[in-house]
Amino acid sequence: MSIPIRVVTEEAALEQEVRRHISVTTWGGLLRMAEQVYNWGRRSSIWPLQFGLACCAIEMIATAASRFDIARFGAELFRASPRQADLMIVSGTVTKKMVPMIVRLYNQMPEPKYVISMGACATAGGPFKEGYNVVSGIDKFLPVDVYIPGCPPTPQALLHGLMTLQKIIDGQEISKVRWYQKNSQTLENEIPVPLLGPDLIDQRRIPEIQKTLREAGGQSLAGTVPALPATIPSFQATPTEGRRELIARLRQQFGQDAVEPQGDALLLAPAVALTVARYLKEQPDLGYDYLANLTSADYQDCFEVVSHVVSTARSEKPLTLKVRTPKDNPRVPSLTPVWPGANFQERECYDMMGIHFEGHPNLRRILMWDGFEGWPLRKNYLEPYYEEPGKMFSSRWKEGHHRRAEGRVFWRDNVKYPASWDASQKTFDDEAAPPVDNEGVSLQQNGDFLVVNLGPQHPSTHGVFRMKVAVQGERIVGLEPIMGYMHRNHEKIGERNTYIMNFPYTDRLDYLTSMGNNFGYAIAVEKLTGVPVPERADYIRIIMAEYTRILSHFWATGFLLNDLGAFFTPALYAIEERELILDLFEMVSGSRMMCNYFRFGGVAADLTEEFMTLSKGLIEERLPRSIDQIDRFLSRNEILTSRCKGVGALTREQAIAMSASGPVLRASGVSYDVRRAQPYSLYERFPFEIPTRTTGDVYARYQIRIDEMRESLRILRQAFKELPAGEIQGGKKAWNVRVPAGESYGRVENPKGELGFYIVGDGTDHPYRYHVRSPSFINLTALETMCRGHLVADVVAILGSIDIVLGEVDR
Amino acid sequence: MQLYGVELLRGLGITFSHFVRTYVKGVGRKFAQGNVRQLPTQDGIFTVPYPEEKLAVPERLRVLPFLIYNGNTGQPATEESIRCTACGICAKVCPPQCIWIVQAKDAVAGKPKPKPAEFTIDMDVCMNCGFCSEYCPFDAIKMGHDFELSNSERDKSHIFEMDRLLVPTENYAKTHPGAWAEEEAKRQAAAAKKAATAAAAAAAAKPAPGTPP
Amino acid sequence: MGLIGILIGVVLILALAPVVMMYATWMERKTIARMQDRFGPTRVGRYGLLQPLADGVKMLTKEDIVPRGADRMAHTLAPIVIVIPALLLFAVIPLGPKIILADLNTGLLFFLAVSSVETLAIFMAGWGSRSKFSLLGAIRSAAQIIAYEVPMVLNLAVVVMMAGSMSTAEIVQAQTGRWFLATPWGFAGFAVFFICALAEVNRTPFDLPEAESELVGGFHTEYSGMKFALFYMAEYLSVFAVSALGATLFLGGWMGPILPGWAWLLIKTYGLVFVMIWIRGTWPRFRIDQLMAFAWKCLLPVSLANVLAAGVWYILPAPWGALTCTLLLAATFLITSQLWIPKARRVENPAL
Repeated sequence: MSIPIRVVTEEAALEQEVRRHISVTTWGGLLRMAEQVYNWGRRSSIWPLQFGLACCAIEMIATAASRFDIARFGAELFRASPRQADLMIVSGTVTKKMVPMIVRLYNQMPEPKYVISMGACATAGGPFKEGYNVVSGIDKFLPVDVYIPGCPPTPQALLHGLMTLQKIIDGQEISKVRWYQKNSQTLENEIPVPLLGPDLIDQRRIPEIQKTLREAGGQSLAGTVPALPATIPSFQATPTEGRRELIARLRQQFGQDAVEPQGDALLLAPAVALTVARYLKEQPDLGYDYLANLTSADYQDCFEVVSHVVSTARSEKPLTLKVRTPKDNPRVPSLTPVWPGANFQERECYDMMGIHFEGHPNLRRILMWDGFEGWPLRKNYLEPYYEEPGKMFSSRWKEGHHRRAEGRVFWRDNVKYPASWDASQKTFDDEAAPPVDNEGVSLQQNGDFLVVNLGPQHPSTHGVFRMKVAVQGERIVGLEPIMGYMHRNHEKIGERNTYIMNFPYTDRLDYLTSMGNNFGYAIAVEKLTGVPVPERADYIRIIMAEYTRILSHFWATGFLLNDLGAFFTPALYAIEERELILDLFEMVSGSRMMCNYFRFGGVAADLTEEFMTLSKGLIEERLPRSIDQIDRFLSRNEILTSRCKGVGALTREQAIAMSASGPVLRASGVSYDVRRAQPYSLYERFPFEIPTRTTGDVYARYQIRIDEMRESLRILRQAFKELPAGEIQGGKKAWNVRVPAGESYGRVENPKGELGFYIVGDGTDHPYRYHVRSPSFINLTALETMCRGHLVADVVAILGSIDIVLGEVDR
Repeated sequence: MQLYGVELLRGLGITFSHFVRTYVKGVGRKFAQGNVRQLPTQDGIFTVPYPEEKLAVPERLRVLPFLIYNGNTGQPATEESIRCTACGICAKVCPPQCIWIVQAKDAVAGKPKPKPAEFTIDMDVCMNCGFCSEYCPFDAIKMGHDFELSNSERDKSHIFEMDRLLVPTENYAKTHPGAWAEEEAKRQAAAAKKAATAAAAAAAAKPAPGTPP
Repeated sequence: MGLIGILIGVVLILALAPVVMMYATWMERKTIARMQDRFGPTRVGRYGLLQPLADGVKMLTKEDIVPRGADRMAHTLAPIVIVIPALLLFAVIPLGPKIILADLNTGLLFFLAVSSVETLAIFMAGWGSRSKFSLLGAIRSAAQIIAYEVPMVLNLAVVVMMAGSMSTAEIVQAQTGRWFLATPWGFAGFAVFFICALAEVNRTPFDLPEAESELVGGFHTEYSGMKFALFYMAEYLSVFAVSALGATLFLGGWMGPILPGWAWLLIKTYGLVFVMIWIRGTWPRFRIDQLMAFAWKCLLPVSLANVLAAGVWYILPAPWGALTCTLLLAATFLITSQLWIPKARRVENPAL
């Protein structure tokens, strides 16, 4: 083969002769050959970034697992460092708090690089589009190559998307690709990272925003704030039977005005709230040592802070305590000195409602960033995309002409800025600050330690979770968890939804256990509606809940081992079992992960023949065998025991005080399980053990999960044996449900811990207040205590043992 | 006194047995014909290699919704055959409010009639929950199975207008045989009942033989 | 060997080493995949055989990013400094009775010295990247390699002692009749050597420096494109080289019936590489303090005991020699394996 020569001749015929006999190819032909090799190399070796945001990330991991095996395409090498990755799969909702990190990561990736927008949320905001913390699609900032619709897209859909990307790469030409153009994205020409001020600020739009603010002096309001009903919260001023004695005793102790009855709840005067709380906790016969839930609500004439407390020694429903404060200056005494588990929950009330908790050691925003403008859960806070106070929106029917939300609003995007905003103001940036612990104590600036950020993009943080860790050598001297990167405004959207509409949203809380979340919500609302659940439906519910428990614990165990470095193998064995259970869920409910299966009064559809046959095989043979295999594989493995025993210990008192729940609580010696303490559905018919350990370390939590899987199998066997024929839904099937006014706190034992739903109904078909008591969020209160003094490598093990899911932590 | 290292070797044994089983089970394995359903007895290679093999699609699978019109494949939809009556329940029950419906108006009098003039679904907001299909009183909107939808553009192609949503009943019967059978049975029972009551009413209205009208 | 012979050898090594490394990556991906009940690469060429080639083409054409403020010299030289010693190691591996590129009479010493240069390269990479993560990864790696050099060298000293020479060719010759693995001190020596080899090349369970789930890839976090490809290459070349050394020193090198010497060497080497991959697919990794404690408190005493035991074996007549040797080694191992694990100590109120 000869080098192609450019022939300069005036004779076209001569040129043709030359081309025919001498030069083998033209310059263009050579380029095309090189292009084929270039494209082939790039399309056959696409290395994704280890980066996942939310529910879609779980399907991405499932794609890398054994059943779908993205490795066949050469793409299983998910690189943790952006410098070595080619593909960023944006899988999950892009929140405003997270988007600066995403852009920064994208900028660090070397060309040629590609972006796949996986799922409805990453494409355009998805079902969470209307939230105040959600970006309407990642293509507002990054150039996207392939969009994959679905919520979430199944792994096969993701593989199809990968193949689409490969086809695109096949068609690219070297002379025309983006990165070889003169003004390509070099280090100097990166995408400017958006800033976090009173709202998300796209740096490219700053001049336009400033000009508009100067000229317009403000922006048109999204809508008018609706009038709040005056009928709530005073439901019943007479106490229920069980509370009479307690009220009398408290009044005797603290004065007539200290306590007012509110049905089953106690309304405390703010001045004595703290002393009454301490009394309730410390009196030996009362012993309310565990704070189950703390939240707030915005009423017409006051803010109300509601707490639910229980005693771990008794099996009974929680005691509800309320404190009210006027709206113009909401100040309430903090309960953190009595129940340290209130720490994060009160910070969330401050963040969402703007209520000040006096005596709280570290009152700062927890989900939104410092500097965000507004108290989002207040009824007078209207998001940029606000349309109407409740769904259904009138713009959808009879004259429903499609219009994107972006086209409707003043800033043409999901943002709003106060008229007084000045772009030169400092924006949120806490990189340099040292970590602050739960007590509000911050390490000294410039002390003898190194501050390392773990996350929010990190292979082991189970999602977008960030920890600021101060290390001295290898030892941790301080740790601060920072959340909110997946805050999708679940509760605000939930208040706008009708009761039925909230079911698919609850799927997306802890996206691994959607059946369990549905269960909790159904129970909470059924307490208000009182609709009876037929026996068959109850059995089906328990079957689904226990399958979910097995599935979630398999995942948690597999990923704990992954964090310890066992290169994905135990995780993949665990995911195989999960896939078989997901097949069952898909068969019955229509979706692997977002089951949307429960309804008020029962479940949506009946079990099928195939479900029964496959279940038999799973429960009798396969699952017991695989649980034993994982147990055998790992439980006495020397490296595992040396890395897990004694690590992350939490004493019994600490666990109760910090409101830990689920395996974290039971590993520390507290035998408290909501299925026993406050039995719901038909759990009383099932004699199962509650595995408990006393050491409270990572190893104990791991063992408890294995034992719980075995107990779940016991429950499943019994449930299938006793499953009666009958109806699967009580009451009439209706597309809209009006729920009587009242409040309820429904709790279930989810695999991660106690999942609770606090619902205040005002008699319409929308909840007035809708709060999710999230076990993962509250378990994190103990994280710093567990980690202090250990080595950096232990942090991932400890975090893995708590088993958090960010959809639930941030809601 | 624990002999250090024994458990580690046991772990090695387990992975080695998996390694060997993937070669032993399914030697000479060819791509499966038709869709694959993995049973609990699955051993050896666990992969279902998409796109050569695909997993069995359960009938209840929910991807994107589609509208139904009575007809055969290839037959175009007409206003009569479209089942949707623009009642708006699907738009009302949709949790993220991704359905926009314009009710058709009678061309002459301008009165609304039970047919949709426009029907739009924004698939980038749809959460595939299936409520629209579950609560439609007319079996007019159902959840589809097609998940191979990835592309490079979203502004136009992810907004589905009525022409892209319509699917004839013949296709629906093929993809959702169980639901189709159930619905047809109900429909025929209802029709039979209606016919029976109509016949009874007609018989009652008919005068007895011999009586003067 | 004449000059022509040397040149041929050099060219062969330079040509085959990248191929060997590429197919080691292919073997790793397929083996780990099979252990995880899945296929591994299958679509790029039959059985995924062209996958490493595609990876190579891709890495060659990636943008080369040097972080702002990085020490350019250290940053750019590090990949080169790590690859060249890995290639040099093949010069002292004998492929047959007289087939060896450089028949040094200090062959083993040469091997150890050259492989230690890689520590320097790791440190250059970590320092030059000017990033907290890389620095931490590099420091850990250096500490680990230094700690594991000592037991490894002691065991190799045993081999030298028993073979009577440091030349790799003569060590193989000394195994005529019986591989060193078949003796008690050889077995222990091989076990310790293998564990130390895993640590030297940063493989599981000692891959903390590049622990992907902890410090984001460690010392090579900031590398992209061809430089990263060189790091990747160096890791697999070292794996191969160290396995070849193990085969040479303990498994009889090129010795074996019927097949030619180089075939046997390849079989034995790939056998050891398979074991390394198998371990990677199964075990979790050690924490840094456990790693160090294991080297100093468990492996080092066993290696010292091995030196003594080998001498005893040599002097005493069989079977007393073998018996005493085995007892001595077993006792040392049992005692140290109980004592080396550091209890998870949490330091209360660590001083600031």
